Amino acid sequence: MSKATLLQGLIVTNSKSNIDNEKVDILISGTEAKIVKHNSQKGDFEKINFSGCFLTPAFTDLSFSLPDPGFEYRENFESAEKLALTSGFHRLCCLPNTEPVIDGKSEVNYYIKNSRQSKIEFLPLGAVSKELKGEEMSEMYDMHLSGVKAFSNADKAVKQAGLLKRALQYVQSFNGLIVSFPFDETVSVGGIMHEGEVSVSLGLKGQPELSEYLMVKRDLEILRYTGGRIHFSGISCAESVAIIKEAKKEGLKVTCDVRALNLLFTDESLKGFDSSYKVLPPLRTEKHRKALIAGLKDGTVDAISSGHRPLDTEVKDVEFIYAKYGASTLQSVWPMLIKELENKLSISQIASFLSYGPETVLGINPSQFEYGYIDNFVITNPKSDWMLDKKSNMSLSENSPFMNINHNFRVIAIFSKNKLTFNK
Amino acid sequence: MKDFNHKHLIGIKDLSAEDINLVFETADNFKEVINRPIKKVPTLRDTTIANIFFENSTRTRVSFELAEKRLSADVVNFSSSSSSVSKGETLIDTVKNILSMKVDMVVMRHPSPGACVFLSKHIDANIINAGDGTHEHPTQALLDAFSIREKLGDVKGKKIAIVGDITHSRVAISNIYCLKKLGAKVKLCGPPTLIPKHIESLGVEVDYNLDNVVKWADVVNMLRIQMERQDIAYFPSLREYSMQYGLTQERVERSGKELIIMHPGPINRGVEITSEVADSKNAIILNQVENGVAIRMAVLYLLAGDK
Repeated sequence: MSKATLLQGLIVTNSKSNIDNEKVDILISGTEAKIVKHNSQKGDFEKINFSGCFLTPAFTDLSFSLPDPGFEYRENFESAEKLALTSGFHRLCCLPNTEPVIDGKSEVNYYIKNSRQSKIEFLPLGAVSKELKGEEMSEMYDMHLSGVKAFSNADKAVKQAGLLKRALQYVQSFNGLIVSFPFDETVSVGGIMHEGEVSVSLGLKGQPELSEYLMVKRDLEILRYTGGRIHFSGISCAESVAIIKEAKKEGLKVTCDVRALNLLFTDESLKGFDSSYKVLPPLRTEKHRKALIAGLKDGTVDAISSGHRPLDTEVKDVEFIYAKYGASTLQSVWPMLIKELENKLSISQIASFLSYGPETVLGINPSQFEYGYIDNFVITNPKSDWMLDKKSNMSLSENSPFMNINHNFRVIAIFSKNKLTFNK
Repeated sequence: MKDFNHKHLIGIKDLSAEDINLVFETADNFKEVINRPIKKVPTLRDTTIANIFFENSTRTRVSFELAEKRLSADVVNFSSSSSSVSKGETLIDTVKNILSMKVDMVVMRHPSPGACVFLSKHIDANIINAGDGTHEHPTQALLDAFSIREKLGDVKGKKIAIVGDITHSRVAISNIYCLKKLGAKVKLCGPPTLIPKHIESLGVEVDYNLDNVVKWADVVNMLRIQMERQDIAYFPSLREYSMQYGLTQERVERSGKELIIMHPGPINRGVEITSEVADSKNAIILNQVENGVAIRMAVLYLLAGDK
């Protein structure tokens, strides 16, 4: 039997843990790992010094596009696994807008089968409606039995209020979660970025905040009628934060996440018609960015999601209006959030919004961070020196607005599914 | 001579008032040239210019071609229907063709806002934007302001109204930038559904009543209704549009002043402007066309001098 491994000198970085900020060691014997007091273990171990490195839970992403099947050349299970491990994620909630759509047991099982064979967990989000057409409900119960925890309409709102009402009611028999992307396209016909001074100066039609918070309001009214649970994926404006805050106070079972990009950039980034920043929900103004951060701080916003949308050059590096929405983000989410938000949120809090937050939304027991136990973790070196470029990029796609940005924080190891993986 | 420190002319937004005045002064000289018996000068001999039009255009394309030929440039024309570029591949392919042809300057019209910015990232030639979607149409704005200057002596302090579909108009955006930089007062008028929210951030005022605006203005620039750019109905019918925003002789007379009337063309006669007004002595629509050639010669000349 091989020697046990002792990872030494890690700093607990998890605002939800009682031992946040403590210096600890981790003892790994076979497939089991536990947190132990620093320098408390005596014996014959393979010792690895991680002095000064951060110990966080492994992350869960609530909004990851894995276009397999359909567009495997943009991202597939193999690339997504490597990407996730490199980025500190052990669980990816994958959108149902594949081809074919994840709207039944067989498509779900394709994900579950791949997940079993992987070092990380692929959790498919089931489509709310058959083929995502927004007409008839899909077989959500059957998908639930196969392992689906939440149902989504991908990056489109459920247009028919009646369908959303029925879906919210139907899933209550098995405590299902409906994920809503609040965006009323009819309010922003032709709009391709946030409506504001920048869109006016570029001659581009805008997507006003109204197109989002109108849907948030509508969906909450339906929830108030039906009961059940709803999760808003990717809110982007101050009004939505305020409305959800009130709804939570009222006791409605509502959660929400914000995409990392909306915390990092504003519509100013689009001034040069750079399609890397053409995303949904749109990058809005500094006022909205601040409101989203305030929403995280006061508990209105539950989680941060990557909004990872890998796309090939042929659909992205084209004239602005023809470029598809989306950015490849996962690999830079953690270091970018630390780099840009460090003065507003602690590193522990950021880690929590990427782990505890999404787990709570999904109804999964949060990662335990206490002495004598640990089920997954990430080790981050804060004194690294790296940048995302063609060589270090683990995604199959290169549509990242984070290219060539220098970082100090780098994920160097991840413990997922009882296996420790080191990043080269 | 003052310098024109720009490699491309993509938008008026990038120019200073000094730049604009330099274009005007240069255009003054070229206007004199094109009224001579021999209208051609050798300035751009050995310079190859590609006119690439991905959208239909008669006036702008001809105006550029004439300007180029009068400067003795070698000219190649390339046009393609907008349907074949709907996926964007053609622009990339065109870029490669341009690189192989070793052209010095590119004049491009394209339905996508920012297309010239995209082009400038991929090729080395000077680029002149001849209209990119709803973004900018800089030479139109320059010739409009030049025509106002010619008629009124100066643009500064003048009251200019721009009337019509502002949302879908690159002419409006470029005109606003140009006129504001030159110190004019600008008021926009049109159906509220066709005036972008936040447009006041460009330093303009908005009034939805044409009669008020006509009374206020020294110059009225009537925009063409861009039916082809409207993805949904922004007003119920052309008839109703004309009732509210059509410039008629009666409206002009009611203002009780010598109003200068402009139109970037092509005119929808009887929609945004009646024939009576378009052909009246107050209209400077044909002066705009003539000035267009001089302005484009000036821009080509100044950008070529950047090398």
